[in-house]
Amino acid sequence: MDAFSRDFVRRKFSEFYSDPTHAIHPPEAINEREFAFFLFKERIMVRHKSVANFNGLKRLIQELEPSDIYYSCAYYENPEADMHKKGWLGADLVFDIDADHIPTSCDKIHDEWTCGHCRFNGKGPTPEKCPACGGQKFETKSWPCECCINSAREETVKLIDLLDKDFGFLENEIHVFFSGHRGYHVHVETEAIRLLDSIARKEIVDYVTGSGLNLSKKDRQSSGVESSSIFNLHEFGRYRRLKLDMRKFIETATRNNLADAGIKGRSSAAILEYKQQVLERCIEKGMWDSVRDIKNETWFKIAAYLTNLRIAVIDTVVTTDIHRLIRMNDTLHGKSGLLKVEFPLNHLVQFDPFREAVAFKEGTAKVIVSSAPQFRLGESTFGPYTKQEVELPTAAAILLICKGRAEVVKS
Amino acid sequence: MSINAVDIAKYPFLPQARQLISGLGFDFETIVDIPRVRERALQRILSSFEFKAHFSKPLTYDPQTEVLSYALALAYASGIKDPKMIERFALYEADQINEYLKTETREDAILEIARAFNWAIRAEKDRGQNTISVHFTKFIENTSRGRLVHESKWRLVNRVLLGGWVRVNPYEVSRLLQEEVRIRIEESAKLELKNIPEKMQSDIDELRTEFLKRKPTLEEFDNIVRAQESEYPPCITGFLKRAATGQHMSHVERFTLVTYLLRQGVSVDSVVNLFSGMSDFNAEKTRYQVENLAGKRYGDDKPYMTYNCASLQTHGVCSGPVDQVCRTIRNPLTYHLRKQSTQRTY
Repeated sequence: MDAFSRDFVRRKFSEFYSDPTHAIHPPEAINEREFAFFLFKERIMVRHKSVANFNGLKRLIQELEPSDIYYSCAYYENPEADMHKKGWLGADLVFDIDADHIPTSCDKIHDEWTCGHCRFNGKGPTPEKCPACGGQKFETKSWPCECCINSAREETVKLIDLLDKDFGFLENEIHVFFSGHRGYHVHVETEAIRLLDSIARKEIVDYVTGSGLNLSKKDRQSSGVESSSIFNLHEFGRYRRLKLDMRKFIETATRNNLADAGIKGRSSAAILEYKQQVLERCIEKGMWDSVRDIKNETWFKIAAYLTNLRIAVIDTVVTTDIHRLIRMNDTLHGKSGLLKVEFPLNHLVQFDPFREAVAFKEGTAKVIVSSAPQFRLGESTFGPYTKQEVELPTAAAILLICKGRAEVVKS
Repeated sequence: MSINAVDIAKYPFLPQARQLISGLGFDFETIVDIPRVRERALQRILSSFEFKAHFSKPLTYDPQTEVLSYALALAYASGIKDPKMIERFALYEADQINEYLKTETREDAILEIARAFNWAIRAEKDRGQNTISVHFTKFIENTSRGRLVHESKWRLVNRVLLGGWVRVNPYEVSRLLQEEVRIRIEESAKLELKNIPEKMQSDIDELRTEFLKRKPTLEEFDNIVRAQESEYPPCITGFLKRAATGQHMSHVERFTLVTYLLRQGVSVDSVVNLFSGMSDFNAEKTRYQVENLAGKRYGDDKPYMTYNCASLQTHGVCSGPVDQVCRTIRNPLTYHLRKQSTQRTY
């Protein structure tokens, strides 16, 4: 983003926050939260701010003209003090679900990477090593595509089901948000979890991801008799959910999917050839060794693969961090110009982020687009564009600028 | 059910015990002057120094002495102000209580004790069977630290969790209560005691001297033996290799590597240098962060604790229990110690 474009976006953001018709819902106990602001000009984070009330927060936003606004999931006696003197009073339980690591049918073809060493570039997921020079540092440009965001939504649906049925949180304690970029945030606000420390929250994360699930019969034998590990799944709790995940994985598995899970050769062929028997006998009836060529090891691999996927989908660091700064509701995302917005739980399936999170609804701007895939905002579809000048509605122009795909035309 | 005098003696942390003390109207000055109470309190503290604690199985003292001596011993532990001592005392008292709980046949007594700690706990009949459930928050508070973390059956992920409640059996409630007692005693003993009567202070001083004499033996296993690079655990070796070749590392990986090295006594300069191969290396920023993790910014000079193995697994950066040693440790920092001791055995 060049200085001119940055200034354009900064002004638009600032105008947006000055607009009295735009309602911001501040967090509970606003005076006990730490606030932080990322600044357009200086590209730095201003932290350890506190406000007595909502008006104080509005004044700070006017004064700092930030690109991003955060608040702490924690409640403090003294939010402005140094970290170790803040006086931690508790924290909400927060989940961050990001599309970045979910395998999707779009294959992330909209993402771009450039090798930091030799400038070789390509599309799709960033490789581990540059194919040209072997370098391992890349500049990346991601894209908030509908397919990616929908996959994040599916994961959010699963998470909410688990928070509701297993953890017993009430509907009014679970808040779900579109993050304003490529995923969803889920906040649980209730006294019951407020004082849990980081280690206790780790247990919740492990339950959500399935990490540490005891899958072998061997561990459960108290006699200590040596036997090879036998794959075993129970019908309750987290086991049942893993079983559902495994069923879904097998149902739709291709040779490539199985290879991703580390299953090749005869096991892979057997799963594909006898899919129905595998589903009915192994998964449904728990007769894990009843199909030839599918050994214990295969099931352990699939279970580990699915667990690792979930570890990647839910940002485990966010949930276990009891001081975490999180984006504030009803504020703009500096990487998209879209809003972080809350919506009712029962609206999760119908929720359309590309309509309901659009902040800038008036005016147009002329931009030079370097490259952009086709995208939709509200009812209108734009692009794809390659090195061309276009006049776009403000929201579309800001999205492209924030994603590093366009610059404002200097008039 | 009603809590009787014997229960109060066995479980002197119950609110009923506090009521008994306040009913008597005794202060510490009076309590310390009752010979059998003082004798029992000193015994409680001294027993906790032993390697293998001796518990009084059938109560050898009258309930009033038990309750008052518990309060006095707690005050002693608090006065000695040695974290290791407090840890030992809490462990001793909690183990003692577990001895009683194990023999407790009245299920409602266990529930009553749990409720005295404000536990959300419920007993129901499900298809003709008595079932007990504990709210998951209480469950994880007591299983995520202390001695239960290593056993997979105590992990929330391996439990029946329904509507926020974890199903447990009476034995498991006792075990969880034991942890609760231990944590509570540790917390109470850490509170500052004011206006200590003279006689108590001289007891405290004697006990402290006695404890310091034994401390080196007790801490034998905590001795800091630093690891040679060849003895680093597989996760750290992997991170080191990646840092040295300038590969990308996540926050959790960097944090683990830096805190591990600092705790092994590697200097801030060497740690900073390690990252110099990274393409986004900024010497000033890296130094600031490493110094921060070394605890230098707040002047206490104690590096941040390295993540436990379980946390590394949660964040998906554990290189997997590739060798036997990894399966027996809780934190990468103890890998070399365990490795050395296994090598010695064979």
